[in-house]
Amino acid sequence: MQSSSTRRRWFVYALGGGLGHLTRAVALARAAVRDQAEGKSHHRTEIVLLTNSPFAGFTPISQELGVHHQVVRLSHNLSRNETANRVVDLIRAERFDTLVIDTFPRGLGGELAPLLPNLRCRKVLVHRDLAPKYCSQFRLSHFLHHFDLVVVPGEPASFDDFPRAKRTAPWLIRDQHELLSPREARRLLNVRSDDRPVVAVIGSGRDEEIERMQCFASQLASEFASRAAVRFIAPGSGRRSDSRLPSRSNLTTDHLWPFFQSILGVSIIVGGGGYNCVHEARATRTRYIGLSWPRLYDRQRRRLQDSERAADFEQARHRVRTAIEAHPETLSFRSCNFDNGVHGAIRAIDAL
Amino acid sequence: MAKSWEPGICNERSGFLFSHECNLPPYGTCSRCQKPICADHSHELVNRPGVMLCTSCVKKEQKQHQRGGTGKSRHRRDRHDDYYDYGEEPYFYGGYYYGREYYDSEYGGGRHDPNDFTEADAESLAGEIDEGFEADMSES
Repeated sequence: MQSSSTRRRWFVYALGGGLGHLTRAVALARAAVRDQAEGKSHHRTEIVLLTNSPFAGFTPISQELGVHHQVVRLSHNLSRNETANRVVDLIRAERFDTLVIDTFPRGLGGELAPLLPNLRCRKVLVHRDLAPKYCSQFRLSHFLHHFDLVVVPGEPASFDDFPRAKRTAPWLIRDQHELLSPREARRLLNVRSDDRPVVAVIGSGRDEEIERMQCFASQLASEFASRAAVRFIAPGSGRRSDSRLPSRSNLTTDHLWPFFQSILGVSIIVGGGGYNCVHEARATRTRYIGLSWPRLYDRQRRRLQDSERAADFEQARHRVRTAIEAHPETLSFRSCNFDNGVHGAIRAIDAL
Repeated sequence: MAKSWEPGICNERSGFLFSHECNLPPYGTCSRCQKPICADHSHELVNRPGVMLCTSCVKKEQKQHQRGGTGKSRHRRDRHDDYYDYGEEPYFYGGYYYGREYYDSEYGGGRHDPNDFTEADAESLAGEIDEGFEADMSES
């Protein structure tokens, strides 16, 4: 006999630059939706996802979230006050039983601070690493008491010892069984060979960072043309996403989001120090070379381990060369066995 | 005990809008604190060619000279500028700018007014401006 499902409606706040906040939020929401579809949960989850990512317009979010969802895309060109006003209006107008806030307890612009104490719903913070000065300047240790649950997704964070904190494994946008096989992944990456090393250079973050990564990928493609397949992974999934990038005839660009589904086809990843790239590589034991970009809140340099961190492009290039020349055997098939932290987070939210 | 610096990268954290790590390769070391610094964070003393200071040490120097010069004449300040003329470099906008305004004030020539805009006020304000928390909606 099939039991009746209950409806739950989550408002997921994922404001912030780049793709990181959006990807993490989609990972959680997608898993919540799929739990019901796969019979793991009796809840029918409806999602309202709020983003101002500049990549949201050409990222197939809807494909990830099933039928019952609404994606609210705010322009990244809005001012702080314009964004804050729209967020407040939206939260006041929407009906939801759970508010999930990614990273910024007070909202990215502080706009949630006056609202949160009076909201009559379950309040959940996704507590990624934050700059200590921000934490102290806004007394976040006190503000955190407005939350019913603080989920710490897989890395040390300032308030991970908060009484209502729940630590999980890192959040990933695919479970292990959903990853493409190495061969399937290579076809998606437009790589014909099954054994040639594949170097994926991730273009994400700010415009100038994406452009620098594309330039670096082009240099690698020229230098290692006979020994490796170099791919530039453009943000988003449509051609529009990289229309401002210069054309580079020697470089193959793949428009993939989420890139993670193809990771088993890749031998070496060169990326930044952001949450998703780093944890995706670690979960799948993929060689990672990270350049830490400066951020106001996220400490990328701290996230990257010594073995992952490259001080500059020259060092990154040297590490790519070393990996290709000195350890080609370690770049082929690798086994991985990871736990996706989104499921633990959903259980913790359901238990509230 | 001397502070230890991480070799191989610039260890300066001063930024135009906010403090952040600089991962550029080092160009040299600061003559004062021995910190490895990149070309952007290196500042050559005008009257001592070849002597390089990091941005933080230049800022400290400027503040020390300002304190020493409080209540002095404009000519005294001008002499400081001979040593530390970095007004056009973005790292020296912001807090230091307030210090200059204070200096240039017609009312700043004699006694220290406890109700005036002080250097400490400038520093605290500069801290908020430098960080810019909750102001930039494209940050992460």
